[in-house]
Amino acid sequence: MDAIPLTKVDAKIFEKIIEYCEHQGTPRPLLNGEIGEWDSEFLKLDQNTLFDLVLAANYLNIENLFDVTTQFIANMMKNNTPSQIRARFGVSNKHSSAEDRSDNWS
Amino acid sequence: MAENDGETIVPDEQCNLTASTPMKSSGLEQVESPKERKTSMVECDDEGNPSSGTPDESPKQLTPHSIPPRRRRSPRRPEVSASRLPLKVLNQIFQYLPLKDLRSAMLTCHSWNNALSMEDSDIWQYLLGKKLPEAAVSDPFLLAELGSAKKKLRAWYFAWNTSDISRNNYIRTNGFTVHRQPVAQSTDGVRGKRGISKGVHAFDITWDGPLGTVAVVGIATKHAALHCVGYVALLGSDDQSWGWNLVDNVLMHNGAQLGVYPKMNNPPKYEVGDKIRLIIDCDTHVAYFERNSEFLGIAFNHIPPLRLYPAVCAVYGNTEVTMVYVGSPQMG
Repeated sequence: MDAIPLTKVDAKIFEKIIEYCEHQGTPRPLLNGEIGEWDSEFLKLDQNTLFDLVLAANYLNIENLFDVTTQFIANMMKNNTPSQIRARFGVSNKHSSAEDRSDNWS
Repeated sequence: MAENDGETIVPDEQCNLTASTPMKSSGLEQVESPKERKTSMVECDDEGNPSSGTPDESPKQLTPHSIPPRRRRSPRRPEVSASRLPLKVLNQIFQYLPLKDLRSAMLTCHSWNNALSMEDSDIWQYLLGKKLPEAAVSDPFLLAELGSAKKKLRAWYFAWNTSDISRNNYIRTNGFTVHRQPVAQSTDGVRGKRGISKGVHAFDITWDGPLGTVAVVGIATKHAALHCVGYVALLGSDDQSWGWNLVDNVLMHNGAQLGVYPKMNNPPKYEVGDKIRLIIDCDTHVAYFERNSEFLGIAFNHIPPLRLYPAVCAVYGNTEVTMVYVGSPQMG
């Protein structure tokens, strides 16, 4: 049996993916942005692991995992100011000029 | 696939810009990447497989530098990971966010701002399909002048207000056209959903049905009345509203007639179906109109610094008025 090398996904992340796929018997759609209890526990990860997981789900085309992970990240952003989002996601504020736009609708 | 390839260039550019700023760290990254490759090669050997060429598809999905640098350099990993998410991932995340949070995302970092500044990107197309009524999306003329999905979505947020309207008016299913029902001895108005208090804003207003004896377009504060008994030029009858009666071309404010508009002898009558553009300049406190792109002169000046809404009032049964927000006239 030939093994398939996965140069884009490391072993730690791949173990998480296997865990998810084994648990995910029947794919179910997200309802109104709510994430199930098991998924919420599964996604309580440090930020780097979470982002590696969403990248891997995208790369491997695991649609359910991609949907639930991106939804989880979106929920982390809801009701936050730009500064709070930067602090939470560790984003640098090197381009503060974007903040000068007072109203993006105009 | 070609479209996806095009989209993935943007985060690459941002990654390159970010990496090139600190010279030392970029050098360090170059030193580290060979080690990373060696490690992966060793792993392949351990599995007993000869090294094979990577699939052509994989470089298109993820950039080689999007993963290795983050694993090696813990001080920088949290800083760059979120802003370096590829466009497809960002679009998926942003689709779950309400508009208020999208604005916060736009102001978070440069790459997110770039992703959301593409006015026809997936996120705006998705929200357009989700928010706008089908009757508006499928109408080939209604929003034709708005060149992007984002602008059409924005117009929806400024359209006539179904909750701020005389009871004898209703908003048609397209969401942008108000219909006055045939009720005798009644004047009936409507306000837009969003008021403005700064900047320059333009609204395209088209009277689609007969004018009757009163047909007023103009501006109202939140407190201006939208209904009264009789056939009255209600908009402009008090200090909370300013109106231009298209029937006799008279400007009104605070119950006083300010003269004919445009200010010339025998100004032409409004022809049903002509597009009138109402421009409110909050910064210089003036409002004026254009008709079929022709500037008609200042209509109202010394407008107090209040939140102002586009408004119309009508008296003719089954007449209709459409209003589409176009944003800043310079940008529109």
